[in-house]
Amino acid sequence: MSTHTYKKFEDIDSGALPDKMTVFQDCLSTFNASPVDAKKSRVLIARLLRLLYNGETFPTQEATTLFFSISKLFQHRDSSLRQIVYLAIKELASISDDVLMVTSSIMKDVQNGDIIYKPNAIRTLARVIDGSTVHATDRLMTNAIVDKHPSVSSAALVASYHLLPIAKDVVKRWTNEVQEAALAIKNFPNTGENYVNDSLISQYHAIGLLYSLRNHDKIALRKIIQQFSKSLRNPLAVCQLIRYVNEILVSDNSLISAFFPLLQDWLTDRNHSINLEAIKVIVSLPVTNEQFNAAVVRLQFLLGSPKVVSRFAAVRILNRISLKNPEKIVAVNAELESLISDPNRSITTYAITTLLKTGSSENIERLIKVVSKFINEISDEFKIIIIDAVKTLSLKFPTNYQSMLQFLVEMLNDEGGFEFKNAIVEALFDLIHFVPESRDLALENLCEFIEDCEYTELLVRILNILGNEGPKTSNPTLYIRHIYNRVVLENSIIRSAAVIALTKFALIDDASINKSIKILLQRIVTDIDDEVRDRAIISLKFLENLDSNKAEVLELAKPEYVYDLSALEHKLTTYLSGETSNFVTPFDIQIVPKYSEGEFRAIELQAKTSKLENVTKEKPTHNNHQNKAEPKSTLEASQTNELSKQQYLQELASIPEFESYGPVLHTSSIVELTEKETEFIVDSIKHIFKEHVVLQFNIENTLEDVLLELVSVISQPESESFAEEFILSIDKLAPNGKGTVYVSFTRPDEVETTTFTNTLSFTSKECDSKTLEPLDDQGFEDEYQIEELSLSPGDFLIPSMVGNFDHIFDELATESIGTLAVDSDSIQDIVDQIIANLSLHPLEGKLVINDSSHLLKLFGKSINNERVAIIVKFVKSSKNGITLKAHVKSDHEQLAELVLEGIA
Amino acid sequence: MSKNLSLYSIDSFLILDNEGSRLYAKYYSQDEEFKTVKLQKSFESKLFTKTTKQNFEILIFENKLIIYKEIADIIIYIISGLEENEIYLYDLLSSFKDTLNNITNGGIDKKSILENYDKVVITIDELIDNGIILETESSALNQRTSNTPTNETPSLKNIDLSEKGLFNAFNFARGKIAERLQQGL
Repeated sequence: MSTHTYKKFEDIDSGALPDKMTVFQDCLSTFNASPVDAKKSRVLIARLLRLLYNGETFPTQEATTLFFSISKLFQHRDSSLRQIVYLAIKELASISDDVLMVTSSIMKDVQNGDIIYKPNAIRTLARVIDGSTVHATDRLMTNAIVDKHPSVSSAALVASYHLLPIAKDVVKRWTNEVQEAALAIKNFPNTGENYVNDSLISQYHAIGLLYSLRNHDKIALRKIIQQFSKSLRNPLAVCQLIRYVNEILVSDNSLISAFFPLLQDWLTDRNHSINLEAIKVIVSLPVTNEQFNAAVVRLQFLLGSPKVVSRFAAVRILNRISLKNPEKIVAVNAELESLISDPNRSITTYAITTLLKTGSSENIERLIKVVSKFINEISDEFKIIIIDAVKTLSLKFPTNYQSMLQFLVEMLNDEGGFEFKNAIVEALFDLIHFVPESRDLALENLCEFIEDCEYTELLVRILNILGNEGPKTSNPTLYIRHIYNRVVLENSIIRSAAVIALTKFALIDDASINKSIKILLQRIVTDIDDEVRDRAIISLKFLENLDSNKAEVLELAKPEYVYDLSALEHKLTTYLSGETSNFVTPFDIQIVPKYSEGEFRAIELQAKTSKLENVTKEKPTHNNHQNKAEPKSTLEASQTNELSKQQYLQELASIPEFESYGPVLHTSSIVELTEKETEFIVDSIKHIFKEHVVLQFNIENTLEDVLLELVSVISQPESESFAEEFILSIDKLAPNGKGTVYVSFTRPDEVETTTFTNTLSFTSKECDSKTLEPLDDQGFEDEYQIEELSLSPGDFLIPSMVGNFDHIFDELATESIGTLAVDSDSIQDIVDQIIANLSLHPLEGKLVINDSSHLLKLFGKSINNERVAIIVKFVKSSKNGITLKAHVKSDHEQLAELVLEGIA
Repeated sequence: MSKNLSLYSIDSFLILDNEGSRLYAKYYSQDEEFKTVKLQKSFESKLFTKTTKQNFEILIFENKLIIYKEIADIIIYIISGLEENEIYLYDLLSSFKDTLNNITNGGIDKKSILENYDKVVITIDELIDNGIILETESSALNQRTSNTPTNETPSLKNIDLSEKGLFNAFNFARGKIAERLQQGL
């Protein structure tokens, strides 16, 4: 190397970026020189690219000047210079003007350039042309797509792919060529220098492009799969094809059995990336257990792979399965345990959290021991994930609380940041709330922890829980000492929290404790901080009058009920956003639903145990594709349902006729009484009052040129205990208009079900579709039969939460049991239907995990406040189909029987 | 689980040095989180602290699948969406490493990469085209990456050190010198 070139690399040793202005000047002078120095130019372009890839950018004008000077290099024939020129053009094309002017030079290269830069020319072409010039490249591109050289073909396919957004219709004309390219097996021409392995990657590009051209057409997609499933050789192309198969199967589950043999083949392919892709598809589809197992076996194989990525990918899939169906992957537990010592921490964490999910109550203790040995070696972040897993586990296996509590306490005494300690404290709180046996031990450990805890926020929360739970324990004085220590030693925020906690202890029926608390509080009254003083004084005042107004104090210090916060928020905003006349009446707190402590805990518990399922649902939303709509839409559907219910209730409340009926006890969901495509669309909602039933019919007139007048619904109850009172009909229903008819009945005190036969009656008049003026005055009366509406037991039931289902189930007096066979394929369908029909709260078994047997627990209250608890057992056998046994218990005999009928 | 049905599968390709600063960075995805150079660099520095000196090779970071290799004083990253196929992305990275090995004559480090920057960038361009995987076979990549052009003026490679060659060189020099002297006169 000459001294001249050495100089150039001087600055490279330091690795510093070349100066932007120098590079710019050098480029201009070198590229415009004549003759062009190929080597120098290439090195300069490399420096320019280094600047660009570092995030530097040039203003449009300078970029354009550069672009033009670079285009001068087309004069030079050196192919290695040309290659990097194309790279520079590609990078500058996005920031310069007038890039179209190089099109002709590029097209010349595409046509008969050297093989080394021809593919670059093709790919660059796609970057500089715009939608209007694409058609001019038509012949060039089609020739290139079917070119024998794989690089040329790939470049042309990828270029076409990039052109899709701007010229889809032009690219569509090349479909035949693309198809040919996908089937062709192209070899690198043997140049004699080095042997080149053929990757056949042009198949991947061709199939990707074919899919984009045809993806809207399901039948075409199936054709693509059938045509290529055997002929593709490139692993990426096969993986892509597997994704298309997944696409089809997700939209139509019934095709799984037809496509499974293909997936099975891919599962045992030599190439691991193909195995992986097939596994991903199989485990996410509703396949049979046998099919699922085939995928698990392959996963097991990948877990033992020497490659980190394979193990990572496999354990990641297992982790995802474990969130929903842990029992399906118990078979791989042994492999997972050996991964706990894997050098890659992500793999270890996945392995542990998966094991914690699949573990049963027998092996969980051993597992926790293994984990505690290893946990000191990993970072806080991973520890938090593991603690979260242990937390969920402790709720799942409350009987094993001791080992888990011990584990958490050990962790609590370890070094760690706030996030980490917070996770542990959270976990301990959950233990205290949901596993009562662990309470005393956990509280004692928290007491020790606060002796040297540096995080104010945590201290305050712990003090709060000590105040709430401490008085319930057998030895409350222990906690009082710990809490008072905080008053002596800590800052004012913690001191005020401690005051409140102390006060709660005084509410125990124990004179000596009461007295000592008062003494402690009196000492605090002289605190230097005003907030602490205030709280102490208020507390003292309360305690002095404790005997006279105990109920009031208790209500304040330890409220029995908590309000549903989201409902409270909603009600308050509607109150505030309403008209000013609203403010005449004060806000009525009674309308906000309240939960007793037990109910609240039960809701929380359910939220926590189901949290994991939600996480899996939410995760894909980051990836913004079709599937994300799914979980969201169900949520939205339930929300809109709830909203429209609220709206109907408001409308109902505004009708004077119903004022005397009192509050609505229950409102059913919307029942459709006609098909969506009929002339008149009718749906109905049932409102139950104390002595009345009001049927609300929403009627929509879909005819363009018919005006309906005097629209009403004639409802005939089957049972005689219901008597019709009045009908509120619609005077006039314009074309495409909507209206509501109310029919009111008196109802018997007892819960009684019946069926109403309904007929729509109206006078129809033809009218002008624009002016809506009736064309004739007479019109003719008509009737229209709509479907029956049944008043089911579910209409009298309100879903409700309960803390201890089994206990209440035993407690309830009357029971009725029934067995029946159901004609359906899936237990899940039946479960969903029962929940919808009965409007009871599913406490357990909302999601069907095991295909062959299932247990569903439901709870709710009737409008007369009688409790109903149901256990439904499902068994599915190939001989008899699905059989279910329902065990209904209730406070009221008749109710239990009615509910049982409701299930049938 | 949502699958990526398009060919656009790579979000970004990075080469960072041992202090976490860029040697090469290209973002293909239009994601909001990589919109500006500032956002990109803050992502890189977080990623770097997470990965340096810990040879995990693969991890999930900020909802991205990251596959990387630490070689001497550089780290090469492939960043993609969570649902991509881990194994073929890893194969892609391996082929790139093999090609790099070839370019740098087996001594992959920061210095050799900067010295051969022209070839490195061409290789990456042949590897990934705007987020689409273009070639996975390292022998093909090798063939596609052209060498730095040799200057027409004599360079070390062309010098023939045999007796005849030396004699030729001597004659060439004599001719040149004579020419110069004549010009000077």
